[in-house]
Amino acid sequence: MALIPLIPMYILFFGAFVVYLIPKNVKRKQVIFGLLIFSLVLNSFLCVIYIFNIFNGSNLKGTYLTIELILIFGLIATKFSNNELESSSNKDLYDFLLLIIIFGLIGIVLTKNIVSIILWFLFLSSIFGIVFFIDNFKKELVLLKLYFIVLIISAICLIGATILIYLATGSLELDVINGIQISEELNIFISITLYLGIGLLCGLVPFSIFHLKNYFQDNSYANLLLFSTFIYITSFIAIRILNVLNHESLIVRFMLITLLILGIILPMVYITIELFTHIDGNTYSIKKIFGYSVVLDFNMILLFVEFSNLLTTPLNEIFLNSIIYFLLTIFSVKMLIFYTFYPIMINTDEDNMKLLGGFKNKYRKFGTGLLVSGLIIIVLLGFLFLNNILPILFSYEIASNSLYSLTASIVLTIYILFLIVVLIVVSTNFNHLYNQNEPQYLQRDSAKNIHSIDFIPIIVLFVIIVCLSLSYIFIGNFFYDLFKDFFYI
Amino acid sequence: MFYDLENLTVISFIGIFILIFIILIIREKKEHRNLIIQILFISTLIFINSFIRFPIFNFIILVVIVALFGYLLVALLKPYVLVKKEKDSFLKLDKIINENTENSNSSNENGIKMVD
Repeated sequence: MALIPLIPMYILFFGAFVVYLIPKNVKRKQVIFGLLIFSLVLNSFLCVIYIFNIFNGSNLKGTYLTIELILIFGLIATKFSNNELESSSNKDLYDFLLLIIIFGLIGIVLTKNIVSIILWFLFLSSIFGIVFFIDNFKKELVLLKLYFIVLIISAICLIGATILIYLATGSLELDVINGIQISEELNIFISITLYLGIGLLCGLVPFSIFHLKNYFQDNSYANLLLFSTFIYITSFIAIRILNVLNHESLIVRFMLITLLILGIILPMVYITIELFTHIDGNTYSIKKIFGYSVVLDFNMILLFVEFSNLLTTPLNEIFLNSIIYFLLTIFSVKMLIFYTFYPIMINTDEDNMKLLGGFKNKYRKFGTGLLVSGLIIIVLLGFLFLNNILPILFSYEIASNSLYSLTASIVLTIYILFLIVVLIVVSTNFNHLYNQNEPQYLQRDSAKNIHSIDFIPIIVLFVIIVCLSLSYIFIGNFFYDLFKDFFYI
Repeated sequence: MFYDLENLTVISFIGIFILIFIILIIREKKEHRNLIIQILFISTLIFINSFIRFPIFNFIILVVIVALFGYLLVALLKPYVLVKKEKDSFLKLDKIINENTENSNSSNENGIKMVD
């Protein structure tokens, strides 16, 4: 475990308790912001130093970058949670849990021990459950029944996988396991249980999005943002753990690819149903659409990683470079879209924006945010990303094997479908909000006093995306070099 | 050097935990105290777990934390179960009342006479 990044962890752990003891809401928020901004500044300083220098051969660039992302989105989430449980007596507990969640997300990135990774994962997912029903216990727990059942199943899978890994390799540290060959049968068992354990909760297996439905719909915007950050960080961790066991047999690989394709198609269908079915005006829920699209990204990333295992070394590196660029960009784009929700959620918990009266006239920044993110998706993730991965998908190595080339074309089709669905989401939201002359449905709530939002986070996110793309275009294998040690490639 | 630093971090983390624990007990803050102590305890254990290089201790901590998780879940589910039980008992009460009213209806004439 690296020692210097522990400083933000200390700050957050100790700060969580200090924050809990502060009685006044406004003061508590200020303290949280202070803590997070201090650790963010500290971490970005360390991050810059580590990117341009190598100390004693230790490469912590990937770790620092991931912590940086966690802190940035944790900051945005705390901003979102400003009026969460405003009048409740549980407000202090909520803020405590918020900091503990960010603490746990840093912990899951830092540790190299499989038991610790799994325990952080389970701890975080149970805290997400507690945060969901913190204020209205009796009503909300019924909604989360399936979530907790899935949590218990994934706990059993993960603990089983840990015991199997220990029996096969005699160690629990990722860097020790990385060099050890495991027998094929055990490898099949371990990789399947790991996939199920990590993926069930985040929406890997097609049926698992049913347990997240209530979680997405009845949650607040702040919790949704935190949970989606958790899913993205989990995809980082999934790549990390699964790369250690990349000697799977072909049958298992194709089985997992099929599973992942199913896991991608089902959220796509759900999103389109959600967007276009509005018999009573109640089905369209922006929270559910957003949640499913995050699940979609998770599956897409795992599909790409699983496909990259079919390639050999030089192509493999270029492809992984592109995958990491895809992950970081889609993460930032989603947060850009989500940040523009801020003025809405500060007023109301309403998730059907068609029912918000007066929204389209008074708040045009949301439209601008949607337009910019749509452009980023088309230009960067459409043209630039495809331009770089197409030669790999149809290289000689893939084209010479008919099964491989079939898989490659399926992956390509799925990716293009994915882009189309994301673009449909963006454009339909835009259309609903700005192109209708009269609201056709009953107005449940009105966005009366929409606050103006800070443009600074939007500009920061935009600059991050532009920098990512520039380094992707001009520096060969930039992301691969950054995350090489983090992912144990 | 490296191991010394690791020990130092673990010890200081435990120190912070004990400090928080004592302050929590002294301050005696409302109904959240048990939940918060448990969350802090679990996160401290997981944190320390990532420094331990002996798999057997890792597994012992795993067992302890899973037990704590179980305790946490049971504590969380307890009110829910109690509410359900209350509901059941209310249903039973309803049934008894209904039966009584039916009985009283059947013996209505006598009852009215008795009251009068």
